[in-house]
Amino acid sequence: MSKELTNMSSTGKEYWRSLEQLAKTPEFEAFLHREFPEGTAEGGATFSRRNFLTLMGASLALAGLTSCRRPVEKIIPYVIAPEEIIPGIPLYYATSMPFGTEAIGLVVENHEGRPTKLEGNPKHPHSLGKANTFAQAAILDLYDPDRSQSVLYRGAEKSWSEFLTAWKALIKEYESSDGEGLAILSESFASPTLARLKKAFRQRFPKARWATYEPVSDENILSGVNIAVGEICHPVYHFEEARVILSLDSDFLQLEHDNIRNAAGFADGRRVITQDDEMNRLYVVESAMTITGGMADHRYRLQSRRIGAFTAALALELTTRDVPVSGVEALGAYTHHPFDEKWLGALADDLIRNAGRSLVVAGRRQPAEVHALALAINSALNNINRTVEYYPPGDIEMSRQEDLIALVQAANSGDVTSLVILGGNPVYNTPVDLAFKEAIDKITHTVHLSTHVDETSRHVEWHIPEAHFLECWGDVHTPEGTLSIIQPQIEPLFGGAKRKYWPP
Amino acid sequence: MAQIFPEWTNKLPPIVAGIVILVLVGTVGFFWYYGSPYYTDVGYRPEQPVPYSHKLHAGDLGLDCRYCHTGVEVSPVAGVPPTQTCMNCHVMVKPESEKLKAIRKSWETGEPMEWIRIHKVPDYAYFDHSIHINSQIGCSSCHGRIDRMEVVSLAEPLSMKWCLNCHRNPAPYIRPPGNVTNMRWVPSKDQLAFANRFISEKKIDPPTDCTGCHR
Repeated sequence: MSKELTNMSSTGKEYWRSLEQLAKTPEFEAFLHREFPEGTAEGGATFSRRNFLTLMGASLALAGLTSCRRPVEKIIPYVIAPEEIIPGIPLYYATSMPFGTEAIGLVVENHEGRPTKLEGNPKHPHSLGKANTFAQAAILDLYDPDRSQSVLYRGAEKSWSEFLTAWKALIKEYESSDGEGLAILSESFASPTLARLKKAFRQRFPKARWATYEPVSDENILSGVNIAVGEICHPVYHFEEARVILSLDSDFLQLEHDNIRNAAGFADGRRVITQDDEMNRLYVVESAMTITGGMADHRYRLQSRRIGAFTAALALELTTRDVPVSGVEALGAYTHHPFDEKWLGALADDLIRNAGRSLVVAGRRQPAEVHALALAINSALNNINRTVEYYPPGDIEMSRQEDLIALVQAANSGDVTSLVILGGNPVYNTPVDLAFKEAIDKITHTVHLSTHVDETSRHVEWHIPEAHFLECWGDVHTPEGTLSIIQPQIEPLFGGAKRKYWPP
Repeated sequence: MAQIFPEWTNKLPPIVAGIVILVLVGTVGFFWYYGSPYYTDVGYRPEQPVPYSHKLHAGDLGLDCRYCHTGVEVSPVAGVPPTQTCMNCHVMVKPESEKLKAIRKSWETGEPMEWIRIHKVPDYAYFDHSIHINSQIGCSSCHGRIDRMEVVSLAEPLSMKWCLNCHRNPAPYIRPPGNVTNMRWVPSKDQLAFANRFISEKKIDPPTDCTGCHR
């Protein structure tokens, strides 16, 4: 058979049927010379196919008989019954879920001390008694058997005290040099306590680097606002006030920041109870079908990269209709655009008719310029402080890509000797062109705090298991400043798990 | 030419058919009865880790059921008492008893007791103790005369048919107030009149549709 294959070129065009055959790997050559592929042979195997079938048949035949016997079930009561807990009756406690820079107020159902279900806290101004898919799924994260369960040193299990000894020795070296060579890579957070700890760290190690990175963040939105008004601010939308809504690649009902309140506000604006109530109208311009696109009254399919041009066309269209959008001069002379004239014209008319009661939102995926233009359009339509408000981020820690790039460059030039990664999986989710993996291998001492042993954990010196938010205390606040407490529902399931808030 | 088959072979098909039917009916009947809760479950009497006598505690001493099974009025599950409940009395009463060794060990080590479950409805059937107690169905209606049992055994089959018997006609089982945990209760002469009045006043409507229990 192999002879035929190798000689084929002399008889005609040679075709290959697998990549291994094309590459002529030794494994493939060996495979060709075998009469039967591996695993099919009876002889030599410790557990033959026939034995397997015999055992399977016997166990299947006997499996029926086990149902004749009543399975023994145990009842295990408490030794000392805790006050308040009545077996069979759930208890509910409030907490909040930190999610990027978001705070989702939750009420947790607990059965005999174990959290089982997360729902929105009706008294929390940010979640309004509702929860999103991420909050619903967070309970599965808590009980995930794949969660990291112990401190690891180069993959070998170590105790927490061993880490502390090593860490205290290491940090001492940086005391004298003001933290020269020390770096932190953090996830974004909106916690006053973490912000205070960061400040304390800065004071103690003024020369240390701090980078914050999140693969999905509002970075583009904030830079867009910065372009438009020269100040970093966080938009907070009031969909309930808007009569006409235009979404530019923004899945604000499911994936964008604040999607719980967005969805509630959108539903309020759409609800018709009396004869005089009007439904809001939703225009969506997007490249992929999303939940928001599914709710659209008018949906316009457009490649993601062309949405910027669409926004510019809209700005120019509004300007020709005597609603001057600031900054529109920079877009150049307006002769024509390649988009649906009727659609764009009707949209512009509708927005102008509802000036002050309309809203233009752009999605996280769009570049900063689109966000700046969306802000300019909202401003031209007099929507600001009516359907959208802007809040300064305060001590919210935002993802900033340039800090990450600087960190990687410093690591490559040997300026970073120790790196502490607080949550996240940067080896996996940083842009591949950045070559973060290669950079991290050049750092002598690395510590990684995360919930799972992931790609990053395999490239670091120390891996510390992170506690779930249902297992630890904490605090978090929303862009408007609503403070919420993170209240633990259960002791850390795995003894080694540590919280971000340390010392505890 | 002589016949190949003798005359009696004429009867063979009905005989064979009869045997086949008998075997089929026998097999089905066998499993129908011997596989049912009436045979497999009633009388189930496993040995518990501690030879706790309900006859002594609930019968002779007259402890109320709710002293130990505290959740029964408010919770879907009646609850098995924590070790602490045993020790409430047994620090004073028979503190050295050999039979209580496992309880003392649990108390000292903090390891919970492991009792063997006797009364069990399948996971696909929902049962709530509190609604039955608050509808004044007595403990002994389902659990039997616990006060006479040295070792607790399953008194009723807890099968669906058995549940529905009462759900379709609850009147004979509804007790006057104060008699729910009374093991010695017997219906009085005007039981039906009382029960029917109670059912209409309290709007007792035991579900007989599938989703009542199979939620």
